Amino acid sequence: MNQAQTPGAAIARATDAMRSEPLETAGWIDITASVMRRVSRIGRPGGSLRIGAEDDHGSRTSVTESVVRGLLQRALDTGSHHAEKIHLVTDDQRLVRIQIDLVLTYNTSGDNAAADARQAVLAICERVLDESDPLPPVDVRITDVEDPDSLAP
Amino acid sequence: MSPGSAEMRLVRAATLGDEQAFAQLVDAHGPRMLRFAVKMGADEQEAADAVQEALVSAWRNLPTFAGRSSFRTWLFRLLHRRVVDGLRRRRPTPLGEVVEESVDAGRSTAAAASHAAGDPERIAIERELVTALNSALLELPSTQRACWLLREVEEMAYDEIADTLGTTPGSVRGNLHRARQRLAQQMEAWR
Repeated sequence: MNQAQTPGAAIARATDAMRSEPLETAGWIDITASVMRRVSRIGRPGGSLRIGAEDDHGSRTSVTESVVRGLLQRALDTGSHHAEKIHLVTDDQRLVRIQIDLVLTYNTSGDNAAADARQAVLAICERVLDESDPLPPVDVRITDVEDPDSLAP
Repeated sequence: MSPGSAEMRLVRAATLGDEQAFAQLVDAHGPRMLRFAVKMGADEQEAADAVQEALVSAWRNLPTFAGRSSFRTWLFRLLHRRVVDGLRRRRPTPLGEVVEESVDAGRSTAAAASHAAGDPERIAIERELVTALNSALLELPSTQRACWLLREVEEMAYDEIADTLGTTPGSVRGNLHRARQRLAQQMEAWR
């Protein structure tokens, strides 16, 4: 076995080979499917929000809180701020208040960010909720200011 | 957008319940987690179970992920605990089985190498080298093996390895030094 000159060179060569092994094996597809099935079953804590009033037949429409949170999270994730926490306050499945913990990027004005955040939140509420539902008040709390460069790997 | 901030967006979305964002994180990190579990000595089923449990635990505990370490480090920490617990629970493995398992691992690596390069002699040498290195790794104490794999194969920084294993960068350096020494001794036949 004289193909490599030193044990160090042999280890380096074997390590390179290990690193270049294909990662996406056939078994991985089954694993990821199983993980996501379990994730869907677990979900996130949270109930449903009713949209509009019952119709003449007593039928109701609702949307899960996780859907609303996802929409809000995406709307609030701008270059200058993002939501750290979104709390939906409900009363009898009606959205009565939204509380947002906002993280600002360094050098962003808190007032402007809070105003932008409220506007974005209310736009989502108008899209999702029924016209007859009053728009909820939106509390914004700035909880952190971060340097965007610190997020680079 | 840097890859780090793109990933943090996915983490934030997943924390708030976005399953599609979590699926992207799973696909980005899961295959490397599986490789780590296998190289640590778990068999195929044990490795798959450990990775699944770690990822499901990550989903459950995302709201508690404070972002003080990288998301990858956090996932590997969840996985490492499970892999080590699984190896501890396992009955003592006769040496013959260890060698046999490592030969199998070497075969799969050789199959991978044959896709990457067409030179039969080179493939044969790499097959033997990887088989020998797999065997040598299995002879290391678990912490040394984990340090070596996280550094050399996963290319983590010392502080990331320390976070993953719940130890200090100094301890990582020491374990890595001893692992390299022992591997060099065991690969002496390749001189």
